[in-house]
Amino acid sequence: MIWIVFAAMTAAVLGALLWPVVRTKPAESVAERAAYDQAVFRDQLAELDRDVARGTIGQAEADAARNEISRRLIAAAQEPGRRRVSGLAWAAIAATLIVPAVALPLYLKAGNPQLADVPHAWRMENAEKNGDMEALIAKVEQHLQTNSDDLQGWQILAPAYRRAMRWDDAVEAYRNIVRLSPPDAANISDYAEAKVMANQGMVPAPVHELFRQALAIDPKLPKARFYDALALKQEGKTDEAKAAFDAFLKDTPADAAWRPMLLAEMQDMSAKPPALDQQTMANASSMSADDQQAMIRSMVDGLDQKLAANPDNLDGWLRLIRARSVLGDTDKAKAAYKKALEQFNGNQDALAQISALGKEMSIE
Amino acid sequence: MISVSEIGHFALILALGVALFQFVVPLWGAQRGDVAAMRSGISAAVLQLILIAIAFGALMHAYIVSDFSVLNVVENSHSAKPLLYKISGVWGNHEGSMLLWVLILALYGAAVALFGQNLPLELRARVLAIQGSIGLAFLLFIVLTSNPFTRVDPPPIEGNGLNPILQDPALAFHPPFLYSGYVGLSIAFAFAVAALIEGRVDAAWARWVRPWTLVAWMFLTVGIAMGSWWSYYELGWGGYWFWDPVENASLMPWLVATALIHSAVVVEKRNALKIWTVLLSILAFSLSLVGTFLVRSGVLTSVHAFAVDPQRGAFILMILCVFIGGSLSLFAWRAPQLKAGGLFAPVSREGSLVLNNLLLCVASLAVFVGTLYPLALETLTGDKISVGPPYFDLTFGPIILPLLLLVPLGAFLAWKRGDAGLAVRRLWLALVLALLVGVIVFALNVRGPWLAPVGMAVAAWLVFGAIADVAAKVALFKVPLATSWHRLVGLPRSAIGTAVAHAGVGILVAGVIAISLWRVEVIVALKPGESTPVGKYAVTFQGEGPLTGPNYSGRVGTFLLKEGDRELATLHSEKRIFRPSGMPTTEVGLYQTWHGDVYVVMGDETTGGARAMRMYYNPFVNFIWLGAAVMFAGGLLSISDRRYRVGAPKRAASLQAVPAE
Repeated sequence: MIWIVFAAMTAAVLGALLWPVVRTKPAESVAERAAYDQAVFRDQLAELDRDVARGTIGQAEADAARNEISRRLIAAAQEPGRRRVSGLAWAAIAATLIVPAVALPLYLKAGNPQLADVPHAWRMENAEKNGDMEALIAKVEQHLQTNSDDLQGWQILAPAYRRAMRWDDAVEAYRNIVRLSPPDAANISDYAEAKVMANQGMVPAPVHELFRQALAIDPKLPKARFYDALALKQEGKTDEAKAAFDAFLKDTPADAAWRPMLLAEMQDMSAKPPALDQQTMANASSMSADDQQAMIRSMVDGLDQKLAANPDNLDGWLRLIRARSVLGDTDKAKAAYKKALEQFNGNQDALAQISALGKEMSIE
Repeated sequence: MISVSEIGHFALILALGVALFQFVVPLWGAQRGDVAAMRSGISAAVLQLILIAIAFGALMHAYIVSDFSVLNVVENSHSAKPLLYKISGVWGNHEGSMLLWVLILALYGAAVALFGQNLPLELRARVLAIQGSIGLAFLLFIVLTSNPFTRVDPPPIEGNGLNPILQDPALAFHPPFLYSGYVGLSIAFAFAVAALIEGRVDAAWARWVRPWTLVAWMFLTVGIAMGSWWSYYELGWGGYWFWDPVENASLMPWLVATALIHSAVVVEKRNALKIWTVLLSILAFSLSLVGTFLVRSGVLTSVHAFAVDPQRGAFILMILCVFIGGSLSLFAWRAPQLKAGGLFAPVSREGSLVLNNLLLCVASLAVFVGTLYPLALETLTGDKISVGPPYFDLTFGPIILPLLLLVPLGAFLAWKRGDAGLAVRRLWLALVLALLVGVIVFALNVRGPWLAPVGMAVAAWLVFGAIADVAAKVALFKVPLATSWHRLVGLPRSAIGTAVAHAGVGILVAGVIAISLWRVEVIVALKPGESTPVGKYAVTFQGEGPLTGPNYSGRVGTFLLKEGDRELATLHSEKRIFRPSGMPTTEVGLYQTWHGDVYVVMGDETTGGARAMRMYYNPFVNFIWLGAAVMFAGGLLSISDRRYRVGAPKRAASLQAVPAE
């Protein structure tokens, strides 16, 4: 369809370019160059006469000027006329073909004939008809700008934002849902979850509190239970986290959608103790030497406690022994060494590693 | 549904093909004397305009309906923008402004094609061919590197919005005027190159080229003045000209174009200065090309911006080389064959115009060096230096001052051989009045800068000199007043136009001198309820409140302006934050009188609940723009002179061709 328009445009252009060739005037009908020059010079003479009549030019000056202009006029009259031809029809036709020859390949390369216009207003009007998610969101957004208390609007937006992974917008939408509806465990935990997502998967204390609120209303709500356990894990309360996860797993049907995720989190739990996060490292590097020592000691103490509660962790024991020795707490290092040997009694591989480290640290 | 944008895109590319045709066929036709081929250039020029207008209209349509399937609209518009700025957004960006550039080029081309019946067919064909070659280069540049019709699929739902600082009525119309000036010089360029090809420049040629040059000069004058007015009240810095490279880029072609409209007079009247005038035509357009591209390529903001898009940069450089290098080579080859023209004594109208040309060109050179030297230095050594107002005050000022002194004198010198003594005698009254103004200023301004009386005397000299010029022409007070009036009506419009334009220069100079000498600047922190004196006025900060606009929000401060006990006005200065960019702009509170402006800008919050305020009293500042407007009016009067309406001779056989008056 659009190609018909293009063809018509091209045809009109070619027609207009060929018009002078078709309607060619005989060469003789075109005035000679000299005639144009003479027209100007005659006008200059007339102008000079008017200036003289006005008295705005001196007589001597006027005479000199008249002389000059007259000489130009005579020179123009003596100029030989140029030979003219009426034009070659075939050459002109060939020349006009330059236009499509240049335009068509260029347009094929640069143009998008298959694309339609998408005016903003039209798109908004037809959003429902076209199932245009983006436009629908924009429409509801527009509506909510003036009616920010419309619960239904927020209920449409919130999951749309979640699908589009616009987490900050989702937080805002769920916040409004919570604000506008009676207390509801599902709403609160959706709101809290959006906050977790906007926070790169971390559950800060205030958000954890939200999940607790949800659980107070509905203790069996799966989403709240999961994030509650996750928060406990992230807070380093490993036992409580483990207990919460275990309890949740027991209530989880075998075909629940969240089961794999839950298992993955639990698997991850029983692995290493959490490493130092970057913030702690950064804090440590800006501390005084004494403070640093104190911080490291408190961390090592923490590790000791964790191993006491959860002793089946060879890596943890090795790190504890090494840390105690390096810090110069030889007694505590020896105690840890002993406990580790007891713990892994019967595991030759582990015992070999522990005694090797004991030799290295000379605490045997 | 048929896509308007694609039709626009196709029309743009067809225009490229037509430009190629317009370049090649009429040139070849003029060489062979082929009437049909020459005439087809006329059709091509008109077609070029129609096609580019379709493309421009299509882009504007996309902006008006907020069609975000067009990348250019996404990047520069927003559905919530007011209609005026949707329209001005079309040329508020690189691609769109290039399209505007070729649209204006096509407009001039079509004007020569349609209204150039008084031009010999060969000349018209060659001029149109050169225009076509310029159009071809720029259309290629647009289609290959800066295509405004690039599409997005799937389209986003919203656009990014126009730079808030550009959302201003003066700036909406500043580029079209400025471009009309820049691009109008292409006609003078095309005439010059055509003359070089033909090997003839004569009085008739000058008569034909003059109106086009004058139109370009007028638009350039208004364009620069609008830009200066915009920076005065929108940027909130209180100044009207900053010797900013972007401003200099428009000043350079203006200076050379001013020289050109004067030297073309000499060619028309005396058949002299021909080679020089051809060179000026080439230089004027070359500088406008350099100016357009220094601004458009981003070279000026940073040397490195040029390299951001190497394809664009290289293309721009190529266009500059082809047109400037090509035309100068042609000039070097052909200019020696042009016949030398009439002779004249050093003291004569011609002599004064030669001096005018030299001073204007040297002034332009000073600006050129000041603008490009820091750029060259940064490119070569990486050092960043800033050439500021002190440089320009020291170079530009002393060059322009003698020129201004010369203006009234030149108008009184006769052609060929003038009498300086006679000219001074006829100007004695203007001279006395100007000195009187100087003395009065000196008396009022005893401890002020020495420049004040001199500058004001020069300004008065220009204005009174222009009045004396007209007075002498109508023999004021030498004949009865009625006769003088009769003579005034009968004067050639161009003679009145000259005097008016020169008076405009005087008015502008008065404004510039006044503001640089007597401006009052107050920088102060005010709490609501506090006042500060600004010159003879007192400004009270009454408080501030919230502000909501269609696509911005912010704070508006209210100020009460008093002179003595008299309340003059309530002023508002705004700080706007635009959506969606979050970019802040300021709106100045302005109280305008004939003798100057009170200018109030609300700044940032300081500690203790106060706000930093900048306030100015800018004496006679509006004289600057009034002067530019008067210069424009002078141009308008000149262009309406009947000498530019010499009709076309009817037939070759008839040697009795009569100019239609």
